[in-house]
Amino acid sequence: MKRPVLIIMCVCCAISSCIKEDRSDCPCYLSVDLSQIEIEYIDKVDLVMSASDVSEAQWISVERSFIGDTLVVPVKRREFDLCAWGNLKGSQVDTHTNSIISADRPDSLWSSYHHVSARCEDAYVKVTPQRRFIPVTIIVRGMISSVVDIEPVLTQVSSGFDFNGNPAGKLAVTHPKLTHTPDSEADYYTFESLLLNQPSATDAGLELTYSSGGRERRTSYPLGRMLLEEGEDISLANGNPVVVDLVLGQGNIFLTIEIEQWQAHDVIDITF
Amino acid sequence: MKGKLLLAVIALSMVSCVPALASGANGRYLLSTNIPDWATLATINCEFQGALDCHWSIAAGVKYNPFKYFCGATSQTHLRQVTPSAGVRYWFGGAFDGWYAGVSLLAGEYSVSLPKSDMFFEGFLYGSSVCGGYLLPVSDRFALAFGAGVALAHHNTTFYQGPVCGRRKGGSSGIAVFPSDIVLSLVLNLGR
Repeated sequence: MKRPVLIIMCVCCAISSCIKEDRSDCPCYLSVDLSQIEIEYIDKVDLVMSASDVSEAQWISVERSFIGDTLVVPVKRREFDLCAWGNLKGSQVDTHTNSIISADRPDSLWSSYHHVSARCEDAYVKVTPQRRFIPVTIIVRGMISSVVDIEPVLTQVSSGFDFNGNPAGKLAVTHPKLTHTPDSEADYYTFESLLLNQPSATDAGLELTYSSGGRERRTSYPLGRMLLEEGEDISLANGNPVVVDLVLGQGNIFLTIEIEQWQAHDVIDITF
Repeated sequence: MKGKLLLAVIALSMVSCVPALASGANGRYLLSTNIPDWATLATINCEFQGALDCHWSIAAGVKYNPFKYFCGATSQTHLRQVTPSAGVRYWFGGAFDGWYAGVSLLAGEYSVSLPKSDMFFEGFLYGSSVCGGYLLPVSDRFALAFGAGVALAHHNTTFYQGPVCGRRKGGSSGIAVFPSDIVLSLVLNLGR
């Protein structure tokens, strides 16, 4: 009598493992907190979940109605890197370099990077967007009545970012948009563009080309170094807008730089 | 882990009753199975009793239900459990004769998914139960038992939104009082 009772009791302990559902193959429910994103200046969010290869990455485009709220996403149980991109519109994914490239049309990019451990039932990540661009306004004035074909050009060493948030991509040449032509009230040209965060503070340049007296003139400036001298480091996120004031004189150009305070309404309208 | 530990404790307490059974005054043993448990989604159950003296007996049993029904991509129905119990009973007339009352320890692991509901919960409980009933002999070997039991147990339950990889919705724990048995058992007399 003792042995059968003992066997039955041992079986009880063993079969208790067969009662609860095996959830090891179930997804982890990742709560992505988007409450820190202000819809005033980020109107599109893309979430990229990847391990090491962007070709295996899981992309989720977040609808505008979820911005400012918390999104619950079922993900495979694993550890992975999460990149949240704001305003990713014209940029393209380069699968060879595992990066996002803006080329000559930089988006007003925001980004947030996280390492997520999604190995159990639930996980949580809070997206804290960082601004990865600097609005640049170029004003050209002075002896502008005697010049034609004024064209500023911005050069950037890096035109995008990899999935770890580091500047990546090739040299980019950006043609700022003409937003104001001289009139009776404001006798100057205004051009607007964006500078993306660069690998180092000196990796940006400004070139001004114009024609005067039938001759084409071209002047180059180490814009990145000049901004650094004014206290603006283009390798850091959340940089302030800059205004480059070029005054054309008799055979020379006077350049001054002003650093402004960040204002959200400047961002969305910059398009090409 | 804690659940398996408690199940092992109850199993050991049941095994420790065996010497008492072997030296029981009457050498009488009963083996029974409860019909309402079988009707509850085919819960396999059995209980063993051994007389200690003229009025006292020990009882040890287990309920086991591993089955799932109407399994679909997102839903299923089941009342899975493994619940061993062990305790003593007092027989007012004589051992295995007439009215009885008893108390038991119990522990159990459960997983419940109800039909037409997207709620699903699992958990573990441990506690004790009291029971009472009447044994009615119908022949030399067979009898019918009628009775009921109430349990007081501590439970730890987790709720999910659906049984098939549903999202965890929260949990609850605490003391619960619930009917542990509705007894309508077929009883087999194994002893003299």
